[in-house]
Amino acid sequence: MGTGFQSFRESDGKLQFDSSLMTLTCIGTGKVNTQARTVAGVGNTTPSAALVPVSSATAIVAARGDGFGISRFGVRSINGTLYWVFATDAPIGTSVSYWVFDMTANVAVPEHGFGTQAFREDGSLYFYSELPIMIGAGIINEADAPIGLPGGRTYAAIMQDLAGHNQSTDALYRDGQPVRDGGDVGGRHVWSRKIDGKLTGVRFDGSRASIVSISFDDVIGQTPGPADQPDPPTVYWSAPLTNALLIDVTGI
Amino acid sequence: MPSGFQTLRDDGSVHLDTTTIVFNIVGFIDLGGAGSAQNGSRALYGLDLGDPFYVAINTGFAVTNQNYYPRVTFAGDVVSWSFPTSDGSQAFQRPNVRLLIGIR
Repeated sequence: MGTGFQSFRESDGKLQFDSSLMTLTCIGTGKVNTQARTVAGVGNTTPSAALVPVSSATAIVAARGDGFGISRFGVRSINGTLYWVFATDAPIGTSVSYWVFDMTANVAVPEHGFGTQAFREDGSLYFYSELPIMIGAGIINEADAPIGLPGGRTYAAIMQDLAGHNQSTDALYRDGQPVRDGGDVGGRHVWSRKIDGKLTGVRFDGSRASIVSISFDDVIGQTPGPADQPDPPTVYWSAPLTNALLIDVTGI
Repeated sequence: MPSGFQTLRDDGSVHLDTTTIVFNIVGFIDLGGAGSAQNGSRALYGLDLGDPFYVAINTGFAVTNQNYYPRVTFAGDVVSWSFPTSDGSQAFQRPNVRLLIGIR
């Protein structure tokens, strides 16, 4: 057992604070407008992209799309600025709200001030009542039904990058002509396919969080492997959205 | 009136109280890299004090490498991971993944 501050939730008796652990604190919030996907090279068919600037590589961004879906694309450095880049299914020019979190231990605080502070054994900050600590509301996964969260509050999501990116073959083309399936047709042919490429994201409608699929690379491309192979391989792969954190950012 | 810890904002509204779920961070683990082991595990203090979760904060995945995603499981205070392929000699078979491990 660690030393220091510890408390438990009244509702279920589970651990709420333990100053031997670490917390995340919101260090910045704002809004950005969605831009053309080409600004950050987001897919081939993504409707728009949102770029959230961060000041450190350890920053973690929670984002919220009000009535539209957001999926995280990755971290990109553009003209010397680091961005968390999101793919969205909203039109260009739509407002995206964001909250940037970092380790509480990295946040500079006054040595003396009002409020309660708790420190870890190594002297780093664990909790300060003046800072907006990360408050959890839930976790949502790719296969989950929409989650209704308590009303009257504001929520955002933290997601893995390229969540749910999948490719499945919508249609096959042999020597440029559409065919129903590959099969063994003999000889060697040039195969291509229409790729059903999507990302998985999170959409908020008020206090309701749901899973959405966002177009990413719905394109016609060459099948993997040699162009003149006898039969096209069947391709399907995906890394589902796993444990997107739903964060309560009310009042931040 | 409930007993326990409560903090207020400057405007008097409740910031957190005894019902608040705080996402406590237990640690970060960086996985992957060409030649890294297929499986691994690590004991982390606090993992068994709440409901554990993980998020792949940065995967650095190239688009075609998604089927090499590591599986992550929890047992007591131990987090374990496993990459799908035994051959991890190539970078794409062991994508770099940063896991945020927490409890709630």
